[in-house]
Amino acid sequence: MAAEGPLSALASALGGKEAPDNACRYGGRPGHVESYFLRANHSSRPLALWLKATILAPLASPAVAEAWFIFFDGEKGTTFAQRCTEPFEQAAFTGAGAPELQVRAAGLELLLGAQGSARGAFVAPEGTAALDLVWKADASPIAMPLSLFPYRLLRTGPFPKSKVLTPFPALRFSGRVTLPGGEVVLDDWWGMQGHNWGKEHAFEYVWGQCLFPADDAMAEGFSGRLRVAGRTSPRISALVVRKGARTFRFDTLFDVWRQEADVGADAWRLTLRGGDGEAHIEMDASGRPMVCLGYGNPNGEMSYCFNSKLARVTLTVRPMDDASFTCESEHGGALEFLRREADPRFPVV
Amino acid sequence: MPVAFVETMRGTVRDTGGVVRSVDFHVRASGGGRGRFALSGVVHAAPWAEETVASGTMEFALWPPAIDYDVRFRAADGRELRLFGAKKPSLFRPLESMTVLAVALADEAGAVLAEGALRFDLMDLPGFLSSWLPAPTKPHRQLDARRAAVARRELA
Repeated sequence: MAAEGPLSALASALGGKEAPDNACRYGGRPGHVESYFLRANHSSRPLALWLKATILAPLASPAVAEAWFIFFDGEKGTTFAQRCTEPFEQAAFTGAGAPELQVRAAGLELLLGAQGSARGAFVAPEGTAALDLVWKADASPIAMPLSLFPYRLLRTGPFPKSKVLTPFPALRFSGRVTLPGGEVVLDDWWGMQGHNWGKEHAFEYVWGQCLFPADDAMAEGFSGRLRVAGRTSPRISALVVRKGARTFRFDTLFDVWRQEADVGADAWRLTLRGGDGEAHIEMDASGRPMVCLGYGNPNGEMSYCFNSKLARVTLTVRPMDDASFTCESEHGGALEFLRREADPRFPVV
Repeated sequence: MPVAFVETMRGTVRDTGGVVRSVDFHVRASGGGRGRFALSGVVHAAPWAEETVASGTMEFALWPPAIDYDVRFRAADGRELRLFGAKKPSLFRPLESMTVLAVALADEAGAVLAEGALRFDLMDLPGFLSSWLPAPTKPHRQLDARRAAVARRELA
């Protein structure tokens, strides 16, 4: 994890070699947030888990490392959610990020790579949750690393302040999770691993990802608004769809006149058009278990992430040069809304 | 001299029950002799036809100025349907008159199933203009592949 000054950051942005997808971007300077997250869904039942290790380096206080864990049980309509925090000095993010990155943060140990593992325990008032997981990247082309940004400069340069990458869009998990209510065995659950970093959290966004194993397809996208020079941008959206060996990118970003995003309280609908055709995705977590996570920003402001991993998803793509296709998932959608205000419906984790 | 171009029109129609439906077609117009073009492409008109191949005609009339579209396709229930309409070019409303197509959807007996308007998106203008270049240009190749894939699926 090399320290990064302004000149090296500029050189990296303009033409230097891009760091490996999972390389830790934190250089020890204040004003940084970074997270590695995983999620996995049962293939047929409404059960899902979400794991995250984060670095928060505030402008005015020492950096901390955090570990997050949520288990979503759509059959019982419950969630188990917990966050553990420790000083950053006690955590470790070691390795180049390729082929692996080892993370130790607040009781959570991750080995991030094409074959990874997670171990940890989370103590909450309702009991203790423990997990012991391994995973491997799926062999399909849909599992190749994915960036929603169309240009490398958007990942390496100063704009936007918040970066997103998906080093492993399609993983297959096994292992076990022990919850206060019993044990859950993960037997070939599908999921993914993502990596975010930046000077702050995006001002506002909806992010969604869904795997459609039966169709050998996946989709990931976002609709977000940025704050630039104190002003809030129009909503900008992007979507990447993979089906077999084909990738359909709807990522021109700034052609907002070809983007129709409808962001509801618990649902997101997005229609995009571009050179690859048209795509429409609907993700709806209404009535499904959801958790509100309090994300600190380096400047002390709070963002609130409303997180469900059991959203219903319908995806339709009309390629310019092929027949259209539709993929559906009853409860396999990862759906997150980042907002500036909490919601009284949910306690903040 | 025969010419060809690819055009996409999108919009909505309101059916006899008052329900608004999305409809679009993506066609190649080829020919041009005496202002008459043959149409061939793909139409989306759920619930009548989710996605199916289409054919038809486009005719230019000098006076009164008009561009008549007649797009034919087979509905999911086997009926032959027609999506027909006309643009009325006007010097006073050049943009709207050339980009808006008032349409009606009718069945074999001529009964109107829905009416509405389709629009040409000016964002499609570069692709539309480039489709006039000597074939095979990208829009033509893409449309050919799309139509062939839809036809294959219907056969299957």
